[in-house]
Amino acid sequence: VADLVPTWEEVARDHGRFLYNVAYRLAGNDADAQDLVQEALVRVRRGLSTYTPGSLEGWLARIVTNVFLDDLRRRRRRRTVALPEQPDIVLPPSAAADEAREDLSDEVQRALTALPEEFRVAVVLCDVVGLSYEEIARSTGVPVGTVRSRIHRGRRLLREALS
Amino acid sequence: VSERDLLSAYLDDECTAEERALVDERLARDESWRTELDGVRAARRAVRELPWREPPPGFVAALLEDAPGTRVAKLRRRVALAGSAMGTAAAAIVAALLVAGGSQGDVAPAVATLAGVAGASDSTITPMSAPIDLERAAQKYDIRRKVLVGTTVDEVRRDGRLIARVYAKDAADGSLRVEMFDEAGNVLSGTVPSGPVATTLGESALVDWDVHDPRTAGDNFTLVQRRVHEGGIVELSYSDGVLSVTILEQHGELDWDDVPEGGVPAELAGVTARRYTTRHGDVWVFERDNVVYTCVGRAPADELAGLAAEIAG
Repeated sequence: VADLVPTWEEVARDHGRFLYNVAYRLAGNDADAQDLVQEALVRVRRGLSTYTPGSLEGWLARIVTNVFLDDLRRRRRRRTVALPEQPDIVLPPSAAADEAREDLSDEVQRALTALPEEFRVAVVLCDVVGLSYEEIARSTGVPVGTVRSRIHRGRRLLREALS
Repeated sequence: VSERDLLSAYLDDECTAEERALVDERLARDESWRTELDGVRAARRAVRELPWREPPPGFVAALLEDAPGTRVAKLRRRVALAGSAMGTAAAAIVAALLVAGGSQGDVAPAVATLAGVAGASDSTITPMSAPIDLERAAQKYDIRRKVLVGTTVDEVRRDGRLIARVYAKDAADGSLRVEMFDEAGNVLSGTVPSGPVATTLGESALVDWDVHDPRTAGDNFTLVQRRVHEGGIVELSYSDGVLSVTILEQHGELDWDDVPEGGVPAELAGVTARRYTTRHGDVWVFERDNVVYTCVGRAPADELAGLAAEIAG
């Protein structure tokens, strides 16, 4: 069994890119994604001794998701700065061509980043990582019915945003 | 749970035979169900077809170099926790500046402890990220607002160049995120501004030397906060409504033997300086009139250099 448990270096070397991809889809930007991966690897270090060989990427996805959710909770405890409520105050016109330059995947990522976090986590774990509903339920500690609902509502919001 | 929530499970083959039969029956007689199924199918495809997002070059190698347990990794982890106010790499430079300090007689650039930052137990200062003030920023930038699934996105541009995107969610938690972009359009940092909403100036009486703290500097930057840290290090925070630049001032002569490696010699308004280029922005260190300056910012390189040059000049 010990042979099936990767070393920390193997996880970082062989799965660092996977962790980054998941982290980026959750966080929506590079700097936060890098921080999430670093923190996830710290937890991997602590957790490897108890890791049971199985779906390594599922396990890693769960860790980086938990890091993401912990980070969100920490950020909510800090903050907040209010924006002006009247859009007109800050809305000088600018070139319409700007939107045309935006890449479709950027648009999808922005819509993903704008989802409520619980919907975003469910959609990313399902459609980016490829976990089953049962695995997502275990990873996020909610019933399968809740996972269903979050995935569906997340996709519906994405559709509205992208249409 | 709504019956329609079954549609995604149906699409993902994650429902029971009984549920599948129910969905089939609804789809056969209700066009709105068919429309919704097409919609979530399209959304699923859009996410599944997102390209694999590659980390920046050298990222994985850096992870391996910084294996947990080493001093560097520990330092970076701490900085990462504190890093919401500035890019991690830039914060790491500041932390490195701290580590490098301590020679006799002269001043090693920057700083002390910043209270209240999670995980920052010693010798780390995290420059403040000034509150976003779009009304003020509109004096300098073109700002265009979009609304996307309950999130307001303000794109901040100057001469067509994207400077920042400010994301604000609707009322629930009011959370706010800012992405800054460098000259090439790469993301400098993704941050949640922290710090006081109100402008605060004070504490100048706590040091016994003349702090150089102009109320305005660079291109429409205003001094929004002044703090004094342990050891008499003065932190000045400037903002133009979107970008934040922090100037750390220390009284004394700069010990050039005690600045960290990695930077390059440079010049700011005729003053000898050292410039550290990080993925998240630049850090400038220089001395003028017996004051050592460390300039960092959530700002593109040209904005930071302009402000630093004015301070240096």
